[in-house]
Amino acid sequence: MRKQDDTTFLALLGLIAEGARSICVGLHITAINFFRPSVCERYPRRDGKPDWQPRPGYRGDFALISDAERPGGLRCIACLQCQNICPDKCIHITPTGKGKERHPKQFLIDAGLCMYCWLCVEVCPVAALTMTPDYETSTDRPEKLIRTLEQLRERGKEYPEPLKVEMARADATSVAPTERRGD
Amino acid sequence: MGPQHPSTHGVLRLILTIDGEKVRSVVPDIGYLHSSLEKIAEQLDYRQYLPYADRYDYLNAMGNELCYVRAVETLLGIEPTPRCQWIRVMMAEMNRIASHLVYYGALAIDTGATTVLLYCFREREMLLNLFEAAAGQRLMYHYFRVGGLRNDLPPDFCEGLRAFCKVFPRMVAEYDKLLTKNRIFRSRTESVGYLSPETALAYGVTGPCLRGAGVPYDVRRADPYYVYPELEFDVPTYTESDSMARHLVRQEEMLQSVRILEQCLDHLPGGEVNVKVPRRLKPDPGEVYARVESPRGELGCYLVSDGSDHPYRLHMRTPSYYNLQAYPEMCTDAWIADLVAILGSVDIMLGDVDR
Amino acid sequence: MSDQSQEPQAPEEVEETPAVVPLPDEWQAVVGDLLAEGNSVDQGGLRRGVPELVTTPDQVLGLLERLRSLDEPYNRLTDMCGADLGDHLQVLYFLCQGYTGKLLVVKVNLARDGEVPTATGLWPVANWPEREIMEMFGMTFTGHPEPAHLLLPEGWVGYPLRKDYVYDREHEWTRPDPMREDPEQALGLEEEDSE
Repeated sequence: MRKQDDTTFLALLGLIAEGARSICVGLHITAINFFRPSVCERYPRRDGKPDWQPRPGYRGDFALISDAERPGGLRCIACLQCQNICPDKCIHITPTGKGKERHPKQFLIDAGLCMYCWLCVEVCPVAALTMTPDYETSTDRPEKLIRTLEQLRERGKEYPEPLKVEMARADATSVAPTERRGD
Repeated sequence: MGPQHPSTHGVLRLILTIDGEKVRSVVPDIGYLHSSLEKIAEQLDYRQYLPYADRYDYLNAMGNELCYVRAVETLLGIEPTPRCQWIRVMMAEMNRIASHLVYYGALAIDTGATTVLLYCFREREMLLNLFEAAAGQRLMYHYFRVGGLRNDLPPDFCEGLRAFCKVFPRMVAEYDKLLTKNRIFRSRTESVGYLSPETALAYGVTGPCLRGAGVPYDVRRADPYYVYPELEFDVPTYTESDSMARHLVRQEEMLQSVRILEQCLDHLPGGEVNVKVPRRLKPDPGEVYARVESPRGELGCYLVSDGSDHPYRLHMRTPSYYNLQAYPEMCTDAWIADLVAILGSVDIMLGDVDR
Repeated sequence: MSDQSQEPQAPEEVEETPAVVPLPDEWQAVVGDLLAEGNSVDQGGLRRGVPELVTTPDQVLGLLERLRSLDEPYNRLTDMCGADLGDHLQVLYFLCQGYTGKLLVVKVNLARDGEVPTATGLWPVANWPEREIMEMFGMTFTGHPEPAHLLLPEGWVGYPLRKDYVYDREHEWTRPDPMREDPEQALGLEEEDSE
């Protein structure tokens, strides 16, 4: 095939021998790997063991942390900081209530637009919004990707506290959120 | 050929003029993945744009973040803490290995060997698990922040990385035997896709493609950043200027990156990873051009600030864009069957080309 | 080539305050006559000690050529980009001194519908960046071998990277996104009384 290849019979024979040798070396390595432990995992698992779980701090589906003391049953104070920092503008909050009573009446996250950058979780002053290790979020219709307040609340019931690896808060000072009015 | 061709590593269309099996000219038609990332930057603030920096070269997200963060920090006059610098270098090198592993497997597929890809991805998985533990995601890390990192390393990270460094050189030796020494692979890559140093200069080719042409240019050495001056590593070069030379450069680079990682693990200082940055990032008016070495070549970020909280103009010098421009030169008088192997050895990333 | 320009300036490392540093003498001797008149880089210029030369569209090719034939030539065009500075446009050439890390920036200021001679004759690498700048900013590179669109589809209206570019829905290529307009209505959630 190569134009510079020598096409004499001997050279061709040498080429064949070399090719056969490479195949043997390849097969040898494949054989070694055949006896190495398998790294693949069946999904979904059928042997009763739990499916693969990401590490804490994984940026998966969203949840709003519950707080029975607060109006609306959520820790969220509807300060709109997550809505403002979101690079994709995929969070839409309708706040209600005044002062300490302020809470979200509606909280929409369009997971189809979201790029899971974690900025909204990072900016939250009361650690009310979190991302969970739930990764099975695919649906057949784009509308189903939009998370509503109810869905977020439901999911939040499984998580009493946000899961995170030793989070670094980039900005320690924050504007008192209750004083902010919705933009 | 294309736009959706299994071997084009993305959405690339090649307009070929052929004479029998000989290729007379190649015109790459790009732009299918164009998403105007540079315009988006003008509407977001400096912190919000960081996740978009991942989206240029999605196999080298850490390197892109590094470049952007370095530009913003230079503009703001922020110096990251020593620990942060070491971790950033470590992440960039890990990502370099992960990216080269994808390249390695993809080139193997392009030349007709499937097994290597699976082995490469097995080792890449170890790295992705480490990334996931640290950054919370496996591809679009968004781990760096202006002035620091998302979080410090998780507790078992260093052990995991040490285990990887121990096992990986053995694996590279295995790939070498399996793929690089293979007669068929050698016939497919040796003296194919010739790129002379002069052409490389004229086309602004950088990275392994340039080092495969015998020019030891590496931004890590030419314009050192962070802790690279303290690190010991070689810049591998091969003078054959063909696909095989580029392949060998990348294979050697993976081992060099392991060397860097081992040094990083030995020297990783303690202390804080974040410096305090203002809540609203408002750099003084000015411009900056930051460069880093990405797995594909020189990655530059030109950033203009007008004093407000969003970039006035952002431009990324993406290596694949320039390397792909030299691709027609490499294909002069190649066979159709070799086009794919040459494209694999240039290692372009279409997200990086189209932006 | 007549204008011996008034002190072209290239800023050195700028720390806090943007300093205006006069162009070094060796630069003045080599390229001084090709720089733009009224060249003032008072915005601090590129930081980290990257020298910058500002010139006019009709001088730029001569300048690039002369930089290429220096004893230590700036013979590698590493990057090109455009910028919209409001009242005028700008083309930037990032030159490298061979394969050392030394960088130099050449800036060309031109009117919003101005013309720059193409640099593809000097560096073939300028081909794609120039096409990209043309379609993004609407300036013209005269003598360009194939001035077609590179990234944008043929027939795109407007120049997206200009500051005054307005995205025209008439020419919308993608599906409109109701979520961005009115998410509650898009979801069929009825509007109750707001607070």
